[in-house]
Amino acid sequence: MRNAGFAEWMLARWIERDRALAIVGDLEEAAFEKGGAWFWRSFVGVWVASGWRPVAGFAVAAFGGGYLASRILKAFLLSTLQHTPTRTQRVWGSSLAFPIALLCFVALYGAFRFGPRDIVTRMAAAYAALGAVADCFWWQRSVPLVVLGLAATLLFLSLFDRRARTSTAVVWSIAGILAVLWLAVADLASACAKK
Amino acid sequence: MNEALGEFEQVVLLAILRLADEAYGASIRAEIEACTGREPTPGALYTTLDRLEAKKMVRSRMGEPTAQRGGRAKRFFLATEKGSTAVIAAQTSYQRLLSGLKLLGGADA
Repeated sequence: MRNAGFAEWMLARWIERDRALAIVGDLEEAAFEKGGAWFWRSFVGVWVASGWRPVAGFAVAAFGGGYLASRILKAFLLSTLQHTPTRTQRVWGSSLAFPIALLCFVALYGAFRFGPRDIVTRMAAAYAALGAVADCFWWQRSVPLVVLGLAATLLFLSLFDRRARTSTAVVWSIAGILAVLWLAVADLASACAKK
Repeated sequence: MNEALGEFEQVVLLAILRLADEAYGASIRAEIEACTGREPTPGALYTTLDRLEAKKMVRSRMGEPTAQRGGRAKRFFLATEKGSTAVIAAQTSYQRLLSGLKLLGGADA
């Protein structure tokens, strides 16, 4: 089949290369009888069926994650007007919003792409929810402690299952890298402002 | 508790069971067409196969590349015990619902 390689490349944007290869091979095999038009018609069907989830998931996750992050950051900033945070609380509170935004993105995208039962999706959703509660109610002394306790319990429980361990490592890496980056940028900005 | 199977999932699982070691995308499609007279779209078929694999009702393995398919390997599917049990349970339910019914004025179904 002419340009079957192109079909394979297109399909491999959504699914693993091996699977894309096998599907295009199946279509090519059937196309010997049914013709080239059938091959491309079927290919478009398979491509759309395989691709709508990642595309729709990305759109929903980008919009939803951004919206949730903006709401959480707004809630945090409003709470700083009513309660006086220390410098550490201010820096940590504002820097939490960004890992939470990314975790919301991961949770929403994962739910669309892999379903709500996916373990990374669930972990991301759980830590995002804990982070959001901590960020919105930081001024109530018990809340950050309860959140820390729940996060530690979740972390401890995930040690007993290989998939949960890997998922936790993925989620903590994402959140940790973003938090460190944000803190570094905040420090740099404050150093520049002092000069 | 048994996981529920959709109607097309049952059709695909039964085709896989009929084909035994020779179940791959093109042959599953052809088997469904031969047995039911309906031609499933490849998009629906591969989505269903992926879903069945996610439910652990089928498992897949890659075969060897063949010249007939432009050097592309086949992805063979095999029904797992969970898949076989689920499809038998679903079909038994249909049979139970059907038994004792007098359809089109004839004898018991």
